[in-house]
Amino acid sequence: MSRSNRMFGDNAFNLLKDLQRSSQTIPAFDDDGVRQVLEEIKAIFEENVAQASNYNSSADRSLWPLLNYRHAALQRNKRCLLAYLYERMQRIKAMRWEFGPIIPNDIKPALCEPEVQFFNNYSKSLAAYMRSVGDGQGIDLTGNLRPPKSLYIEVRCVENYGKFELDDGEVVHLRKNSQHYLPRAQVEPLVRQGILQHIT
Amino acid sequence: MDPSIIEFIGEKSMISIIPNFSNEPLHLVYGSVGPFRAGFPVFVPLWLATHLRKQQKCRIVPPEWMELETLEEIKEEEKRSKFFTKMPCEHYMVVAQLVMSTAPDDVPRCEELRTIIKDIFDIRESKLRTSIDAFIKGEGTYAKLDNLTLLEIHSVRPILPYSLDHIARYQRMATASQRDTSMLGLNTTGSASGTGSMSNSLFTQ
Amino acid sequence: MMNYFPNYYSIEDIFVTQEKVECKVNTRLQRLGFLDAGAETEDLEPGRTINLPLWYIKELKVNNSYFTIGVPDIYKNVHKAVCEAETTHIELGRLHPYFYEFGRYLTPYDRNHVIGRIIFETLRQRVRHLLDISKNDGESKREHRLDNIESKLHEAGLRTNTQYINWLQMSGNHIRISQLVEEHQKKRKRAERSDDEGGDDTDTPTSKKRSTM
Repeated sequence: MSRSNRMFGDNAFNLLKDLQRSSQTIPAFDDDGVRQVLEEIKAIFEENVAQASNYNSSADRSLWPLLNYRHAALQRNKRCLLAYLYERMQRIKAMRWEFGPIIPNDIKPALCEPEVQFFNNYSKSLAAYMRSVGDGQGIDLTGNLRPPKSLYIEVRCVENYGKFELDDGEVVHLRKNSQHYLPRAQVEPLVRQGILQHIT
Repeated sequence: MDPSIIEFIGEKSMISIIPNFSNEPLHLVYGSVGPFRAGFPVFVPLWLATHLRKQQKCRIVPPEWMELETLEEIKEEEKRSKFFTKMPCEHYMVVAQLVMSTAPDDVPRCEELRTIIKDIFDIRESKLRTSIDAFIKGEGTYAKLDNLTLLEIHSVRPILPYSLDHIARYQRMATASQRDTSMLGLNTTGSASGTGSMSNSLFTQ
Repeated sequence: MMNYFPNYYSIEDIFVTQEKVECKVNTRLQRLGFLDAGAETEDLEPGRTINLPLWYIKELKVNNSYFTIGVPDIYKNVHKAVCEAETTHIELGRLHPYFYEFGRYLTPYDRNHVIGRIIFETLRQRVRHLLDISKNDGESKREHRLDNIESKLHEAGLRTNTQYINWLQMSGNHIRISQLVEEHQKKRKRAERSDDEGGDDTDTPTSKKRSTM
């Protein structure tokens, strides 16, 4: 048996270590890493199956510790892998609430295809739910996260945004460092996106 | 809970204002207020009082307890007492904060009041931390926290319940291990973990 | 923030269970020689001492006949401080980054039954300190003071305190930039800065902003 078996579970653990240590909002999906873990799981399983059939047909229990160890390693790999996917899914969900319904361009390449699909489906479900509540008028659950104090707020532009049309048809030009007095509900998403800043 | 939400709850408290306008009663979702007659005091919810005050449409009448002598007494009593004394108002911090920041001119000796209310809050908060410590180190299983206001309770949330959760987990662990030395290695990750002992069936094909 | 509680998907729990523990081999274990880094034998020989990860140990019975699990000294070393109720000054994070959770996993294997008591008593004694340092940020900046669980509690305490201070300053109702967006912008800026060579000249953007205001 090769010494490299000492590394059981380490590949899977590294997936999580990289995910935690990464300075990015969400690091690129580690295709290679995931494939390696899947291969390791398969290899362990096949070895154990081969030896376990022998184990069951004879009274020889001397391989029990080995089978037990490898089984634990298999479960460990599975747990790390699922935790990796689960943690990414949590971050993708959080992105919907914090960034809005569109994935920022510089983040999108970090997601794998099923994750993009998940984001879109999650976004759709959330939108459908928000439309369905509130006596048929719908409620934007991503807005008014703190009790609003006034209908209008004073804001300053952090970046050049361009034209912004209000519900009543009025158009304001959001130029960097310009200040405006605007309806709170309508500009809240822009403040949350860091385009405007709420000032006193 | 974020203090801005506690403030929102506290804004329902009623407070007296003297309007400088006259108007029919307002029928609001929560009930009716008014009628308003210029120069005559009327009780309104705090949120409405601050809103009208900002538009210069009224003067706020500070609640009775918002007065130096009364607060001095409360402060002394709070220092003397081992327990938390009853505050004149469940939302004293919220009411003080909102009234004194929107209408400092309506409150005589506003700055002194501000300091003393802050003192009272600080005394109570440090008392809270001391009694939490005594409670955690003692053998008690419950603590009596009468007279604490919402904002005060939330000054130790969520850190206190979180800490108690962990302490309880370790206590259970310590007692369980003394009781049963032959137990299986810890498997606290729950039944969903699927990491239970290996079953032979997995290997028979 | 959610309270940390070890569940199947908990990355923290996976980190804790990655920790290695010294074990003594009691009997010849067939074809497990690969677990012993210092040996070339196919079987694992009795009398050898090897490091095994917690994720495997926790699947073993406490009284299993294969390995004797060695309990690390860090817990014995704080025993005196715990008895004297002097745990506040201990740099717990330096002793072990997962002092409590690691100890919790080892509790059943400790024949003297001290680890369980020690982690329970240590946290019980240190909660007051955690509450106190959540009132001011400076104290905690000293690294290694807190273990992982304590850092999480401390963060929760600090957040409550910041919210309260913001509220006193009447800015509690302000709409703020989303946390994720803010972090993302910072990271992007940092990346852009390290991309161009004059990365140390960080003052320029702020001074430019100020002059146009």
